[in-house]
Amino acid sequence: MKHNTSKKILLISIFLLSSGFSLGFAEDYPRHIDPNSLEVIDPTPSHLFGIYDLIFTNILNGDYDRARSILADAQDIEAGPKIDSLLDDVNGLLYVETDSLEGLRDHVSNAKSLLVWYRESDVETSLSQASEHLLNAFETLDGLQDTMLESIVYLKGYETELGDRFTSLEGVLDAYSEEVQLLAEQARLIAELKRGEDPQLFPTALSLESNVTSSLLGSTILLTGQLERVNGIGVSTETIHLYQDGLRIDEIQSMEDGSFTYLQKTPYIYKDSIEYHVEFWPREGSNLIPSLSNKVSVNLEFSLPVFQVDSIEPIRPGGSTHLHGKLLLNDSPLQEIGIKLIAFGSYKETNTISDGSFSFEFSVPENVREGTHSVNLRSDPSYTTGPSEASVSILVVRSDVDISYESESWTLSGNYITVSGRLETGAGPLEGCLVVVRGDLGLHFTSSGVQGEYSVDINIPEDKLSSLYSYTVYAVPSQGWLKSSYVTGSIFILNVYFVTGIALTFVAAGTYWFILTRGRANWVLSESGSPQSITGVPDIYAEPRNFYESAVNLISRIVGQFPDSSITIREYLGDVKSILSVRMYSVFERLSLFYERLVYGEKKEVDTGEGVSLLDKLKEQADET
Amino acid sequence: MRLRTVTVLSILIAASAVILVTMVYPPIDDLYVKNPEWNGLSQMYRLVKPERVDDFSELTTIDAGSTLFIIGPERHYTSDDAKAAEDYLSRGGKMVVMDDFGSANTLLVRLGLDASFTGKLLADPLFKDKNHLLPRIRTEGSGGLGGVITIELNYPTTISNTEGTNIHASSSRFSYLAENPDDDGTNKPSEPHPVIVSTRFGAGEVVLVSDSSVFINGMIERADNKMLLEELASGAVFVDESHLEPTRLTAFNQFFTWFYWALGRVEFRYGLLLLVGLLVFKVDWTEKDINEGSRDELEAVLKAHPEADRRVLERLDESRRKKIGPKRRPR
Repeated sequence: MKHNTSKKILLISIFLLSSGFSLGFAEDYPRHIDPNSLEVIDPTPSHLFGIYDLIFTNILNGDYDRARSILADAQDIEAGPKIDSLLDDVNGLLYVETDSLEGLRDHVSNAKSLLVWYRESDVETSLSQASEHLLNAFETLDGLQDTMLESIVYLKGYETELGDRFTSLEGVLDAYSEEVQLLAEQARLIAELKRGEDPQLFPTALSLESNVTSSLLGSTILLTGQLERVNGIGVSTETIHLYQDGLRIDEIQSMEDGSFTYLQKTPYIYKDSIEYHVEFWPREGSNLIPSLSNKVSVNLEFSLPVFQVDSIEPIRPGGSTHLHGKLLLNDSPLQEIGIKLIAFGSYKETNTISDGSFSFEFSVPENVREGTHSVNLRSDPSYTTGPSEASVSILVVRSDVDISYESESWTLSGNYITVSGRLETGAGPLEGCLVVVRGDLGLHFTSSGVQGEYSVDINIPEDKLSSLYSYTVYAVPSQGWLKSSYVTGSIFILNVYFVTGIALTFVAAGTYWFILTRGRANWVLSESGSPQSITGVPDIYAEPRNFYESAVNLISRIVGQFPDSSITIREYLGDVKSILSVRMYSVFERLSLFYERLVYGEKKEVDTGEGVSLLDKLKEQADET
Repeated sequence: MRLRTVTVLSILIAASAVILVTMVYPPIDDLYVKNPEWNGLSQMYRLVKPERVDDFSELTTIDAGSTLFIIGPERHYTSDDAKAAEDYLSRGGKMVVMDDFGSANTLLVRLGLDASFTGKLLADPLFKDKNHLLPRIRTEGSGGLGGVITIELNYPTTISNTEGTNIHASSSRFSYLAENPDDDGTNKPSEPHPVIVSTRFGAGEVVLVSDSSVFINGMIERADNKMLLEELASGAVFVDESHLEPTRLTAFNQFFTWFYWALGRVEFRYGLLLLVGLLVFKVDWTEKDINEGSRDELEAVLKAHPEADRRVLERLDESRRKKIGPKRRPR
């Protein structure tokens, strides 16, 4: 191959390959950016100060939860390695200060409330508790001021505006400091006032006891107690309030010696224990201080029945089922007990009969998912029988639609095909179900009839080529308990026009080929030696060429001389005459002359058998030689 | 070798190479489940194994408990598409529409939904990954998205008209609507914008996500994006591909796939065979070969017999060719 030809191939190939590659490589993506190739852009200082402004604003407003929430968000900010470490430190300081400020706020608030209580009620403990809160507030203030100073000094090293934000917290601390000092002063004044103004106030003490530590529901228990001054002298004819689990239930009058008694029937409350306590609130103008007794706990005794429930068969959505069971207490049936069934968002009620049994019929809504669900049973309490609960598992299942189908095995283009069949479920024929037949020819819809039957006609266009038409029949039920299902089928479509056309084409091609190979034609040898027909001349000379070439090959091997490419038939005959034997030369001469006549004779019909026969003779003589 | 042969051979080699490259080169289409590059959805495909919807009318055959993802559609939705979507949703289907600058609004309008994608670029200078175009969204942990806390978006937009919808996630109070990707938000109002909302539709649900890129290969591993996918995908999962515009590479690939399929058809296969056969027999190869062969032959004789007269030989050769064609020679 010449150099310039190689270059041409190379150029054309490169051009075409380039065109091919350009098919898909010139796309752009305007809707997203490759995150790995994205340039890192850190937040600007103004953006950072924006979020810290927000945090400080919330701190100054006392909304510490909000401040902490924004601080948590701020942890996610990525501002570059240098700023990130600064932000981590700032966030840490802010967390500490937010927590401390909230603690300070709580201490001040509690101290205020306790001082009010002390001023109104004269309870000594409230004064001491208020003092404790104030002391803590002072300590917190000290700590905060230290942290603040540390923050400001630290941030100055970075020359950022954040230091100014921290400085703004100093005002808050000053305000708190003033308030704490004021409260401390108030506490001192109130205590002095209490001592100086009313020396005749007497603290009281109240006690309470029960005769039992546990009691059957409905039983009576005896509660006794004593109201007395701190010096042990009983306080008579005062009203004492009795509380059960924090609720005031009655009033008791104290006797001469300050003692009191009370008979209480334990209520039908189905819990482990119940608590009683008493409170003493002096009448207006009394010089006694209110008091509160200890709490007395009484354990409650009652029995709990158990459910015995039959298992439930799997059920489909939309279906109904029965739930049977018994309510037993120590293996004995409980009758006339109310039972409530809570299932799928609704409930039903019934009562147990003499053998303790009960029964419910309930249905499963259509939209319930497939799988295991729980229904709950609850029994009503009755006197010393407490309420009981049980949970029953129910398996909700959806079933497939069985699709049977039939259609012709083949049809012609231009005809209709009918896909028909029947839909069934475990419960029988499925009526009104959407049936979709999907294939190359689009979607075809119908609904199943009363007996679940369906039929879809599909028109095959006349120009539809012969092929195997595959289709899928989908059943799409509207009932929630049924699953969609599908089957596939196929029909062979035969297009007679095309098949006939192809057959005729093959016949024509075959005829053409036959004429080309068996009719008359001239053949020449191309440069590469392959036979090529002369346009318009039938190809019938393949045979003569072979016999002459075979003969030349044979002679060449005998004489050891291959003909030159430019030599003529006669020239070669002359060249080998002196070398071959007379007999062999005679045969080869006849063969060469016959071939010459064949090639140049312009004869339309020639019997090539003579040439082949001469070749055979030549071979025989060569063998003998 | 003659020029025509060279050209034909070159075309054949180059065309074969192009076809080979087209068939073996992975698709690079944006948001395409077969695309393994950063902008494809191959990881999502591996995670939830969605079924690809090539024809929107197929929705009529999809079970109600399934999830249909519409991710970055480019072709507009027709009224028939909307009807199919209505049918699917009214039966209880879940449709997750993830779009930013695409054509999903045409579906939302046809479905009668007020909420829509604004098509404005959302950026966040503070709560972001590498830069403001990759905003990070905190869901507050109680937005009906399970354990998803942080979502990372890529070149997203926002959702407007969200009255009556459940807002599951919004951007931070520092986010802003950028004029262009280089806009740093200076002098722009900063406020939260809804990015994930949902609304009931019949017995079904429509979830809108204002970014088509959350689940692309380059983004799915970031923040809680993968968890968001698992949270949104319930039941059988489907992905709408009928409204994506394939690249030329994929279109070319699809053409060859179709061609391979068509070869299985009786008429096409034998028709093609016939065409090739006719072309082979119809082409006239002979005349030039004869002339050329004859010239070569003449030159060979002159070389072997330099004493011969060229003009005489040429005249003889011409008269011979006119009469019967070139002389046969022994080999």
